[in-house]
Amino acid sequence: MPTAEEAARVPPGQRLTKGWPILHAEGIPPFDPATWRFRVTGAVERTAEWTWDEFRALPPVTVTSDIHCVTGWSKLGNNWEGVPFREVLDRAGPSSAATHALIEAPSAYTANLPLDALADDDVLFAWSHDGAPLPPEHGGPLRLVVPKRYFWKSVKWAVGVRVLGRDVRGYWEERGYHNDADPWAEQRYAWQESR
Amino acid sequence: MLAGMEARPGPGEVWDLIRRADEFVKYSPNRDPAAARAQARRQLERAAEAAAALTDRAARDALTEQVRRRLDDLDRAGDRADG
Repeated sequence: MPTAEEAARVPPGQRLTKGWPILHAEGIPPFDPATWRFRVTGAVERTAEWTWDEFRALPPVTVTSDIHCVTGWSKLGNNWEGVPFREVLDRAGPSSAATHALIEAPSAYTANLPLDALADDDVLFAWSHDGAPLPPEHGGPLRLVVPKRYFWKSVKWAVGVRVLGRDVRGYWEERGYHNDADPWAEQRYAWQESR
Repeated sequence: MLAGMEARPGPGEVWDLIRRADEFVKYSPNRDPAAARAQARRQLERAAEAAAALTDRAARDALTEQVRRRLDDLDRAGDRADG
C-alpha cells in the first residue's frame, strides 16, 4: 500500500508499479562511444556537437523525480544523473526566434516540447538511473527526462535537439496523443486539446 | 435500440482499438515482437473497419488516417526485422 505522501504524488488515472516496465515503439539502437554524436541544430547561434566523452564531461546534476506513463503506470522516486537540458541548449545559444524543440532519437522517433518547459530545473539528459548506468532498454546511454509530462516525451536514446521557431508535433503527438501531455490534467489524447 | 440491432461503434470506440494496438507495439520488447506486431495489425484492421462505418466524416477521415499511419509503421518495422 502506498503511503499518503506517495498516493498524493500519483496523478488521476495512474497506478503505482513496483518494477519498471519496458516500452518502446522502435528497436534499441546500437551504441558505440567512438562514433556516438549529440547535436543541437536549427534555430541556434551555432550548431553544437559532442562526442560521448565530451558530453559526459559536461557539468552533471542529480535530480529525483517521478515517472508517469500514458499507459497508466507511475514509478516514484527515480534518481537521475545527467546534464540539464538548458545547459546543453545554452552551449548552442538559441536564436531570438527559438520557441520549441524536437528531441531526436536515431530512428524516426521524436517528441516536441516548448523551450520554456525544457528549461525547468528537473529536465535533464540522463545517463544514470538510481546510481547505475542507464540500461539500453530504458534509453541508455542517454535519455531525456521531463518529469512534468507523460513519459513518452522523455525520449530514449537521445542524440539531438532540433530547435524550432514554431511547434512541430513529434512521433506520438502526430499519432493522436496530446501535444502537452500533462499527467495532472490527464492530457493523454489529441482529441482533448479542443476542450 | 431495436432487438437484434448492434450498437455502431463511435469515434471513441475506434480510438480505443487504435490505442490498444499502440500498447501491443509499445509492450512488444517484453515478448515476441513479431507476434505483438501481428496482434497490433489485427487490432488496426478492426479499427479500420469500424472507422469506415462512422457517419461523422471528419472523425472517419481522421481515424482512418491514424490507422493508415500505424499500418505503415508496422510495415516498416517488419521490413527492418526481416532485413
